[in-house]
Amino acid sequence: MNRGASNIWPWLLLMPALILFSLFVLFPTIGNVYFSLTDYAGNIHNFDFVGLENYKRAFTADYDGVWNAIKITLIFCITVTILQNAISIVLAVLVNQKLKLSSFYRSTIFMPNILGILVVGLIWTLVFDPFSGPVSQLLNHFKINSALLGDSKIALALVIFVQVWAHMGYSMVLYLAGLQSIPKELYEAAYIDGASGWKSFRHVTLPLLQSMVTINIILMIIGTLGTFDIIFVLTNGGPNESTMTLGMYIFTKIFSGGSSQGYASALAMVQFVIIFCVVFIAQFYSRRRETEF
Amino acid sequence: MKKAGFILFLVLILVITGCQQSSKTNGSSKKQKELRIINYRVEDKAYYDELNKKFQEKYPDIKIKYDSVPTKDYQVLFNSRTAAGEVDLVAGAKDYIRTEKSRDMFMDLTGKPVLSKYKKEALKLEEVKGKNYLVPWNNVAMVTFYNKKILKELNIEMPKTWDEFKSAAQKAKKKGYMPVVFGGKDQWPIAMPVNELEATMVRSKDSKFNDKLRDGETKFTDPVWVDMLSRLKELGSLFQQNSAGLAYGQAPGIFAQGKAAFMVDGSWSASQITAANPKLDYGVMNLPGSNNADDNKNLGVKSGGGWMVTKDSPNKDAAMKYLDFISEKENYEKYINFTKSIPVMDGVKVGKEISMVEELVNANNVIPVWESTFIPGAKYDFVNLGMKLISNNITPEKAAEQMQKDLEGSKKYWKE
Repeated sequence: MNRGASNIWPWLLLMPALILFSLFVLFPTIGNVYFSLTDYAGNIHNFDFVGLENYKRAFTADYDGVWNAIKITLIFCITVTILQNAISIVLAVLVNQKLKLSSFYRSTIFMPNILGILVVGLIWTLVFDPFSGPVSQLLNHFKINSALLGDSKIALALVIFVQVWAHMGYSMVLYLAGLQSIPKELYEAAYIDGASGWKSFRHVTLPLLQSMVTINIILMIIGTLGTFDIIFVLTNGGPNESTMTLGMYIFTKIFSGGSSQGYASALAMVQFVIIFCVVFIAQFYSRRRETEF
Repeated sequence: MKKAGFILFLVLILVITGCQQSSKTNGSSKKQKELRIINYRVEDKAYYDELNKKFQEKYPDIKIKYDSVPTKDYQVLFNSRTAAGEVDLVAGAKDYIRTEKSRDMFMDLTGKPVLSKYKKEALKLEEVKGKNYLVPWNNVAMVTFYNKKILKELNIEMPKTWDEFKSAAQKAKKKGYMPVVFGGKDQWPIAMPVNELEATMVRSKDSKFNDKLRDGETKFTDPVWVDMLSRLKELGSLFQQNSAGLAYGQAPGIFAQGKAAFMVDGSWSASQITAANPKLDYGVMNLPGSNNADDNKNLGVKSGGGWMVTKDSPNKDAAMKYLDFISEKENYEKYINFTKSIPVMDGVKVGKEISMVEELVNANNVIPVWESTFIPGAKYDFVNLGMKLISNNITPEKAAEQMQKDLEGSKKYWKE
């Protein structure tokens, strides 16, 4: 085969994906950086370059709102990452046992991932309805009255619960794949050395799952730091901005009076920097932990 | 050889499809002009489908390309179409033309014959810097719905002052009804009570209060505004339990079931109430924020939206023909009765629920709703502060201070 022609083929085959990626990801990203330096508000023929003014605004005039959104995003991210990982590992270990109907359990736990966030949001909106929802009815039996998603003290906790419920199946599948790749001989050797149950899990399973833990942590951090959709459906950022994540805050700024798409683009860049830094740090520590084992 | 043939085949397909597309567009443009319209009122699609069909029968040389998407997706459609210059008629509102740069996208329609068909007051509401950019659709008013049956049962008249309103709500509560139903889960509906109280408590005292905020002659920390915020907090205590957990869309349904004495909302909800329970005996009134009945005659009204023509449109003639067509009385009357909104054209025959709101509008002193008097570019965080206020997370004084701080802090972003 002609060497030159064989070099072209990989590029040719990659080309459709590269073109689509450039069109729908790369160019819009570059465009976002550009617009974040302008006062663009919808009129493509009439906007000005404003330098770093939008960034300055985010950390001066709108500091309270932006800082509150960053704080809530970090709380949301850390809590979801810890809870979802812990629950998913436990579930993966459980459904990895030789149980009757284990495929049914796996499918059931994974099901929310198929439903889509809008359906998940609507289901839980009905469940948490403070007037006719089942949770409210149950609480009423114990003489507890709560607006649930409308209560600023518990709204974030409920949103975190829904987020974990909706995505734990996906993490569970990743952990399950990790568990099934651990050779049985290691457990047998550990058993001979006197390790079973918790000790076997602690010293054999967990170390060998580290690469999966890293993948899950990184995916969850990226996903949760940018969360917008589930908040939009469940609480719209309220009550009293108690669930106003940065993604949701940016969305409100795109269309709110007194704002501009240029400003929202600058906020999106701030979000990008935060995600990049957190993922970088998390990856650094996770990788180091992997090599320790 | 095979590879070269495959690549040639791919190139040929691209060229052929490209040529076909190009010839298709060229061919059709010679015959017909294409009038491109975008709208955020998907709920009006059935009306426009029929209207567009009639229009095309009258003007066979104009082909209509009509796209409507839900409000939440509209900004994306609006931005992409206007940026690409692929739209002639745009559905919009005054918010779209507040700044000079945003107005610059649209044609100045001031003095165009089509506008003479509409009420002068309606055009005044749409005016920006003395110019009209919109052909108005309708008006909406900030109103409070009341259940006539409950009030009759409690042996009370329609309240005309705050004390009367509060007493009526409390009596309703004692009887087991929701005093005032409010769907606060979506946050933004707090805008309705704020707009209604502001009209009767702030601009009833000083009609230029909002204009004077610009040069600091008035402030949100002035007693008149703090009083208004205190009243909002008091009103919040009359909302049904767990009001912050009820979705906005559910509130009219609850009111229609006859479970609540009052509902602070917008006139647009009348159609939803009637649709949910046609037998419900209800009325509309001004939310009486003041204890002086005369102050409570200020009624906030805003435009329900309108059509704008893009400045660079190559089909301005077709767009103007379309605007003339929808402004013909027969077509406009159908529109008003389809959308159940307040007409902005004289002599339009309307249904029961619209005439009820129209009577209220005619009997009161109509002023632009507070939100439409905002300084462009300024920060008004009243939704968040209002929700905090009714859930007792902030005092009226602190909320007023924060509003003033936000306004002054955003001064460098104010626009003309």
